[in-house]
Amino acid sequence: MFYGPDFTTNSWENQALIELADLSQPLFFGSLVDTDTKNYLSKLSSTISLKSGLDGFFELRRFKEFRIGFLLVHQKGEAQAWQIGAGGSQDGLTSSIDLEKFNSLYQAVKKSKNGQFTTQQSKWQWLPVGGVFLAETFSFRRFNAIWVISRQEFLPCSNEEVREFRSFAKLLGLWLEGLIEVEFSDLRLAEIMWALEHCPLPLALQDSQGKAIFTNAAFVSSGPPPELSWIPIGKNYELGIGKREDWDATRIDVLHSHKIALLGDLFNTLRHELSNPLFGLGLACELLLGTESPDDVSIVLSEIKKNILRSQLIISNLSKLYSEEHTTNSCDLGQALEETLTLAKSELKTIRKVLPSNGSLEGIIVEGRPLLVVQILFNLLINSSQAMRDSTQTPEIRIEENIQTNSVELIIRDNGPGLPPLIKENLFRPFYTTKQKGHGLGLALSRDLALKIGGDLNYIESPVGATFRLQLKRVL
Amino acid sequence: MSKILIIEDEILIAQSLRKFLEKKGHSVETTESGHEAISLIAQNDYDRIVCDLMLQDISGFDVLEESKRRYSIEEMSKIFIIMTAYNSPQVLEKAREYKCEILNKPFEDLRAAMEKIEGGE
Repeated sequence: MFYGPDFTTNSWENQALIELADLSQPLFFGSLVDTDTKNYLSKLSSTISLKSGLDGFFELRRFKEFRIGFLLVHQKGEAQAWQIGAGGSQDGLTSSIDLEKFNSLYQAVKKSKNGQFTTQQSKWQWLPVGGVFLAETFSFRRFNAIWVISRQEFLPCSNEEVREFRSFAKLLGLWLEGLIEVEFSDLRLAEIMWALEHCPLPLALQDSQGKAIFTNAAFVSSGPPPELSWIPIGKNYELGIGKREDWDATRIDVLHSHKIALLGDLFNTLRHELSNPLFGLGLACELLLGTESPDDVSIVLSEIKKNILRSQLIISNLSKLYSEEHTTNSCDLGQALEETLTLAKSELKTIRKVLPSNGSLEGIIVEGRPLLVVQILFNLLINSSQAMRDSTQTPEIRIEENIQTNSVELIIRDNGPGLPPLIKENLFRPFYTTKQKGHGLGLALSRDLALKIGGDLNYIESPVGATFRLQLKRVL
Repeated sequence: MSKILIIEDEILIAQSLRKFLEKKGHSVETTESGHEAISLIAQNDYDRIVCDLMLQDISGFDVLEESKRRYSIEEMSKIFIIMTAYNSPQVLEKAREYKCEILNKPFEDLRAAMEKIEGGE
């Protein structure tokens, strides 16, 4: 497919001259159509790649001082434009650019008398050039385009240079549409292939004779050929889509990250709104405590102060948890348990807690971000507490530790009703819940997190209540 | 005894700080507004100015910038103290620009914080 003027006949030179004459630029006859230019134009006629076509431009002697040139292309109706580079550091680059930016430059170039601009003007600073640049616009059936070249310096171009560039750009326009059409059909295909290749499901494409044309990474890595369900693509092709065993797990992962991101945002707002008033209350409380007041008032005041401190502690703990996202990958188990208990204080208020003896977990460092460890513990404690809500006897949660050189086990028992057999089977299944308001992710997520940090989470049979065993990898 | 200005839009914080400092014998004025702070600073000679960064009308940095008309950076480093809950890199960089001390909210140690406020000449 070739869209440009047909120069394949031996009289291409004559045709070129006719085209040039049409441009009513007497200048061309004298200077532009030299051997250099002729070579370039004939190369353009035979090239099928926009990039190599644009690259050739820099071999032209008359423009050899221009170190950077690229094309900005917008396919009409699309939400973004593209930059296709050639020459200099922009060599061969294809990247998407903001449509608004494209349009503002397009309009400015159209209105401009000489098409000369400078990046000293802040509105052109997004362009990957530094200094003065020349630009020309093209309007085709399906595309608008801007051709930009720059010497990468702030000296303005001479009038003659500007004139030559614009004349040359008009000539280039004759080929450009065809080259852009080809380039964009390639781009589109490349996008589709990328998406197919990176799809997490195994995919295979075959023709009507059953001959394999393409398989993606998930297909290749799935070991023995996966079972595929086939759907027809047009008349000649079929696309096979495989299943994935761990698809549910992937879903949990996505849900979990969404939840964390949302929580992070909400939490930042909350911290922002709470920390100042709390600080003020604390100061005022301190002030009143320093004045002489009756005993009962002092007791109330110190209780207020204690509660303020507790609130501040929760805020600062949460803030630490969320800011640790990318910093540490290990966690002090003693601290994690303490933080969990602070976070769940109200929920666990009426429950008797039997914890590992004082200090036995302190300094025990396990693998995993503190946020993850706290979240697992929090889920387990809240689950137990909710299970014991209707219990007739005094609810109790007992946490026992079993510390080995390379691992730590926490056994978390409650004395609630325990679990009926049906529930036990589905305990760690995602989206399985016995609670009316539950999302069925708590235990599945906790186990998933535990596995992720090199540990495990299991349910252990016990005569009374429910017992979970959390194994963690000890690093210190 | 020093003459101290507290620029803070949380009234509870401003008034509590005022009381604490008055108890120690200082003369204290407070304002919630950055604009008002700028005119107070222009008309009065304060020994110490505690400036919160997040005010209702303008930023605490605007107050600092405006005060450069009256004080040299050397003088500002002795007079101003920035009070903030957010130790972002931008805040630290600005504080370095004005050579001002930073007082973090909430105070970890009230007495130490008071001494920091009283500390200047």
